Formats: sequence, structure tokens, C-alpha cells
Amino acid sequence: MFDIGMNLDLGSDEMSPGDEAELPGLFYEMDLVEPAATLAAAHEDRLHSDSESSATSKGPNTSMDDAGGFQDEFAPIPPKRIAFSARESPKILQARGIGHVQDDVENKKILSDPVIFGFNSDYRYFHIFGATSQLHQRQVGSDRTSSLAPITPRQRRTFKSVFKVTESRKGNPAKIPGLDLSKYTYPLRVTDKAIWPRSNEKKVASVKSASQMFISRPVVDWMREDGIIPVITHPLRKTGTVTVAFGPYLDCHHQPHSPGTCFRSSSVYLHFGMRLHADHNEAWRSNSDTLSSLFLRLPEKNSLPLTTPVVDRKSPLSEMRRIVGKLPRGGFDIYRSGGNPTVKGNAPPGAGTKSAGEGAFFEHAQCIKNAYNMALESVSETGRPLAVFGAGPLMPKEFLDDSLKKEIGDAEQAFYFGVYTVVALGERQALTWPEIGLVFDEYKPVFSDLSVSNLRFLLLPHRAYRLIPVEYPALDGGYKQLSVDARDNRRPLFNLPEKLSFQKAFDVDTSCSLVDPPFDESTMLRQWYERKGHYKYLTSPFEEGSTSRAPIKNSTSVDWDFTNDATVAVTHAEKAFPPCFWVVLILVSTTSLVLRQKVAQSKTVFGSPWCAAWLLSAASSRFTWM
Amino acid sequence: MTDERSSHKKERKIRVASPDHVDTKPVWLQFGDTADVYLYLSQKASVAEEKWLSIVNFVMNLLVEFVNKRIKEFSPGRKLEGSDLMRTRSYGVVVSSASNPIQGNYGWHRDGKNGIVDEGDAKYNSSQLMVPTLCLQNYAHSNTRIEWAPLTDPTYIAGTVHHECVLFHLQLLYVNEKYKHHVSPGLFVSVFCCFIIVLLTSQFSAPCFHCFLFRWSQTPVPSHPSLCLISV
Repeated sequence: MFDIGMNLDLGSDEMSPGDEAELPGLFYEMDLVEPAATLAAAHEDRLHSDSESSATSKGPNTSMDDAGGFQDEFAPIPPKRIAFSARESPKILQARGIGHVQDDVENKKILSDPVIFGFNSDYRYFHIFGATSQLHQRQVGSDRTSSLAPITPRQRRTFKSVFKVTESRKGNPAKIPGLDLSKYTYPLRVTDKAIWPRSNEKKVASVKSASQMFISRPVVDWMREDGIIPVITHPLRKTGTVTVAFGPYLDCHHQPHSPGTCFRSSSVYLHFGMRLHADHNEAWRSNSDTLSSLFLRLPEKNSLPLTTPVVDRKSPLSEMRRIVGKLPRGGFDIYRSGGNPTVKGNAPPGAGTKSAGEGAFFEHAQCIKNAYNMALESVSETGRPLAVFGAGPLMPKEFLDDSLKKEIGDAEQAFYFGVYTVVALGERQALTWPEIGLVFDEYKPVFSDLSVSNLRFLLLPHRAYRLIPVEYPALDGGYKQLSVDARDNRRPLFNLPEKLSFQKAFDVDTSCSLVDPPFDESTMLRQWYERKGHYKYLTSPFEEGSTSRAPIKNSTSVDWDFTNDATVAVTHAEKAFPPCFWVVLILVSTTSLVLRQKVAQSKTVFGSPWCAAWLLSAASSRFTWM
Repeated sequence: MTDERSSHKKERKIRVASPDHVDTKPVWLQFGDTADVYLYLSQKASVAEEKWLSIVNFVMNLLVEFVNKRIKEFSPGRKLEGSDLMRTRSYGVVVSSASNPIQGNYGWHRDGKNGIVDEGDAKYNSSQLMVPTLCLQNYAHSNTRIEWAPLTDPTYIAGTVHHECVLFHLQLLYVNEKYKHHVSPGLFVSVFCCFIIVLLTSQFSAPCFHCFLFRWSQTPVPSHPSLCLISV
């Protein structure tokens, strides 16, 4: 066995056999038995070589004198170059080199387990030194006529299978003349003491923040099954916060309203924080983090299919009919926003203009750059539950609630579809004008305000999304809300077992059973959820300024319609001087004047203006502490 | 005779031989650096190989004695320690390769590999590696070129040696630490093979190989090794 440990004996480069057992380090033995497949291949090659040799010579034992045929001066001689290089490689370097190779493999400096060559079978054709016949001389690499047959592929052995390395350590230090190193002899550390600081554990986290995790799959589905509705608190740009609930529209008893219920549009718009304008209402919010509801208004933009039977059509109208008819909801399709023609009015070219004045623009593609489309695409990725309403021209008069009409008069009503998730359906091909005409003829009797102009976007390829119904059944005690701040960067952390690398943890290899169960995000989140890890956000709610990390982009602040938002909780700025301050000031001034008058004659310091100032400052500081 | 160890399946055969070879624990050498690394086990050195090693040890120790003698001459009255002098060389491994010079050459590499050098050992680190090489071929014209390039600027060819019939070249101190080399086909015609021994040491105010290379490039010498030698 060779020693790879440090040899500090400067007087000698070579080790005596007796020293090997004394020095610490790595020891290795070599398993040089060639695989059976290699030997068989070598035997096959040997037979092949012998047959070739017999074809070009008189026999395998042909001596140099007998091999006169090889001296044919007309035979072409391929160029051949032989290089002999010498190296120093004492045993100590050989032994250390094994350790270095091991280190290089572990440190990925050597990417794969080195292959071992140089077994006896590898040297069959290279016995040029000491060869006794010209035949073997020629077997340096080629015979007289051609190159040797290609070597049969063999089963190669690798470094780890040949070199059997064991590690040992010697208790005594090396001997250096003139130095006594025995006092530095310490036992090997085999265990860590409890008082020693532990190394950091390897942790894995989700890339989602807490708020994103609660409103995306799979956590949002688990919370729905447990009757929990996530409520995300967003900071506003200037001051204050706004809370958005992701789930069904709840009544005062925290039970979801039944699909098909009609509400006053303005009230549900305000409840879900949507903008409410005189002539235009938002269909959904452009900030995907705050998108919790859809308000469908234009029938042209919400799928007008011509499929039969009518009751199975994936349109809002058919869904309304199914809901009113007490049939199961089947879902329906909606389209992206945009794609409308733009009319700018009459703009004839002027004398100084170089181009014709554009009075209007044709319909354009429904671009993902549109923030509303981007938000819808993001929502479809997360599988977030959305409360869906229909209002305005989309809602035929036959579905209006008469009892509600008696309360609110002619005010707009909104039809509650229920809760849906969004699934992207991809791109649909463009329609032709005759096809659009068929759509118009089919739906004009139902929607009297149907506009051909609003159907022009169908002339271009357009993308559709399908709303898949999600059931929120009534629960005993109603649904509970779990409030999370969008700035809360706390996320579940999962420890890796000791001595388990990240690579092995993420390497799905069920045969090795590295971790049980498999180490993936869904499984780990499930364990975290079942152990009530999400209750942490209830027991220790987010405190503003408690995290040093930057908040998630796009959720830092919300551009909310502050005046129309009923759910805004404004944090009032504290006034510089509370009202009680002025009362105290008056009392102190009065007291100071009285004292001044009474003690003026005694010439004491209590009556001086300095005393009043001191009292005033003490009183103000007192209220500051309060 | 395709070399299946080579990633490019070059036409060459490699042999490692050592007089110290033991069947149960042969000497090994590393080939390749990162992606295609293999270790080659030795065979028992033949008589000719042993004689070749004897010649190499004799020649190299002549060089060592010559250098040490000059160092002692230029250090009168100074007690020289082991690190001040070149250590005696003891070559014990032969690495041979047979190939068609057009097809079986070597890409850019350095000879200092695991088992040959130990960067933690002052005696055997890569700067101390000296590699003598004898090259023979059956054509008496230049068809192989060996080039050295500094690691700091691999695009600059610092030195070139052409192999005609017989070539004996030495890579001396620091060459394998600061330069890499490759063997490639080079069809240059010359009349005789040359044996030019250039023995240059920096300690004697003479231009060493390191300085010599940079003088070729007409650039300032960045770092001056204590001793650089090459024989062509």
C-alpha cells in the first residue's frame, strides 16, 4: 500500500517499506482483473490478428531471417512517428495522485469517473522493444498491407472500480528534525459537541410570496376545501391599504350567494373594488395580483357561439339560462380585451401635413401588451377562483330581478354567475364577414344593442379563455378569511435531511428512496399545510417594516380608485399636536400667571417665565410619551 | 490502430512502461484534463526502455550538475541549501506513442498531471517538471510541428520545434507551468535534423527561455522565473 499523506522527511524522497505503515493518509489497492467481455474481445482480436499475420507471413513463429517477404522495397511504407518521453513518478507522487484524482472528481474538475486503460489486452500490438521478429516489429500499429482490424468495443473499467482507496490516519505527527510536534497531537473529532454552533441547515423555499401562494394552486384549492378564503391586503400608492378577497361573493352570514342572484351593479362593483364610471366600467382589473372578479358587460366580447344544441353553448347567455333553469353550470368562453376599431372623427389632411389625416383605425390584434390581457393570462396560470358577474348589455331583461327592481328602480342590475377559474384556450381562427353576419343574425333578437362594429375583432385571429365553474358549497358557520399582506415575504421553508445535497434531493429517483415522500413543491406544501403552517399568518400577522426584503414587484402599491373603494382602510396620519395639548397649554399658562402673581412678591423662581417654559416643555413631553 | 481513448479517435497507440512496474500495482499516468480523462497503466519496461531511461537520467543529471556547478561558481562563500540547487533527477517512467504523424497527434495540453506533479510539494510541483522527449520517424523530412503557447495568451505561439528524422527536445523548468504545447502536422522541408542545445539560466544574466520567448514577441517580460531552460 502506498501512502498519500504528507511526507515531511526532507532527507529522503523514497520510502522504505517499513515506513508505509507509519505514515497517515490514503491507501489504495488496485483490482486489475479484466472483465470477461474484455478478455473475450481480446481473444477474438488475437485470432483475427493471427489470421492476418498468417496471410502475410509464413507463420506466427517466423524469424527475422525467414520473413523475407516483408523486405519488399516496393511496398508503400506509411509515415510513422514514435515519441518516447520520460517522467519522474516516485511512489509517493503516485499515491498522492490518487487522492488528487479523487478530489478532482468530487470537485467536478474531472467531469466523469476516469477510465482505466493499459491492461494487458491494450498492449497486444505494441511490443516493438525486444521483439525478435520483423513480424512483431510491424505490429507497432500496422501490418504490411493495411491497418489492423478495428478493436472490438470493450467493457472499460473506471477509476472507482480499479482503485480501492481507504483512508487512515496516524495519531502521531510527522517527525521533523529540530521540531517537537508531539504536543500538537489531538484526537480526531468524531462527534460535534452540543455547545458548538451548528452549521446552517439546507433549506428549500418556494419562489412565491405568501400572498401569491395563497391565491394560486394548489394551496387555494386546499383552502377552499377547508372553507378558508384568502384575503390579500395591498398597500396603496400614497397611504392606506386595500383588501381583496378571492372567492365567492359572501352574504352577511359568510355564506356564498347562490348563482343567479341579482344585485345592484354599483354595490357589487364597489364591493370588489372595481372602477365605476358613467360610461365605462372595468371588466377586470389590470393588476393581476388584485384580480378577484370579472364583470362581463359586452355580449360581443364574451363568446357568441352558433353551436347546437343551444343549451350547451359555451356562452354567458346559455350559462345564464342554465343557472336560471337550475341546471348545472357548464362554463363559458370569453375573449381577450382590445381589438376594437378606433374612430377619431373627421380629420381631413391639412395644407401643412405630409400624410393623410387618420380619422379612424381599423381593428387591431388583441395584444398581450394590453395590461388587461396580461392579467387574464396570469390568472389562468394560477388557477385562481374568480367571482363572475354579468351586467349592462350582456344581461337580457328576462333575467332581471323584479323584486330588486322595485328596490332600486331602473338602476343597473348585475347577474351573479358564481365562482369560476380561467383556462386559456389558445388562438381561434379569424371569421369571415358572412360568418359574422350569421352571428349577428342569431343574437340580434336577444341583444338589441348588438353592434357589428364590436364584432370586427373576429376578423382577426383572437384568443379565448374558458371559465370553469368552481363550487363553493354552503358551510356550517360560513367561510373564514385568512388575511395576508402582499408585502409579507415570509414563505414556508423546508429543511433538507443531513448530508443530502440539493442535487440529490431534486433528483427523482424512487429506487434509491432518498427522501420519502418525493421532494417536490406540491408534496412539501401539502405537508406544510396539513401541519397548519398557514396559521402562522394568523398568529403572527405581518407588521409593516418587519421585513427588510423588497416587496414583490407589481404588488408594492396598487393604483386603486380611492374615492369609490368602500373597502379601503385608511391609516390616518397622526397630527403634530393632539387636541389635549392645547388644553394643557392653556392650563399651564393660566397656572403660571397665577403663580407669578402670587409669588412675585416673594421673588422666587417659580414666578419667572422660565418656570412657565419648563412646565410647558414637561407637559408636552409627557403627552409625547403617551 | 485507432486510439479509442482519444475523443477524436486518433490513429495512435500509447504505451507506459516502468522498470518499477509491478503487476499488482502498476504505475499509472493521467491523460486528459476535464471531460475525457483516463488513466493509463504501465507495463514492465523492456530492456531498451530501461536503457533509454538510463540515457535520460544521465543526460538530465549532466544538466543538473552543470547548472549546480555554475550556481556554486557564482555564489562564492555562500552556503547553498537544497532549494538553491537543482535536485537530482530520477526518471522512472517511459511514455511512448506510435502514430501516423498526420493523424495521431496531441492537442493543446500540459504534461503536469496528477501522479506526475504535486503543487503542494516544492520538489515536484509543475514548475519543477522537466520532460525529455525523443522522437523518431521513418521519413527524413519535417512533417510534425510542436508549438508552445503561454497560458496567459494562448493565441501567441511562443516557440516552435519542427520534427524531421530525429528530435530530442527537453522541456525544462517552468515550461509546463507557464506554457501549454501541442503536436500537429507541419510539412516543412529541411536538410538535417538538428540538435541544438540551448542552456540558458537567468541567474547568469543570460536570456532564459522564458525571456527569450517574450523577446521574440517584443513584449516586456511579465514575470521572471528563477530558472528556465529548454533544449531543442
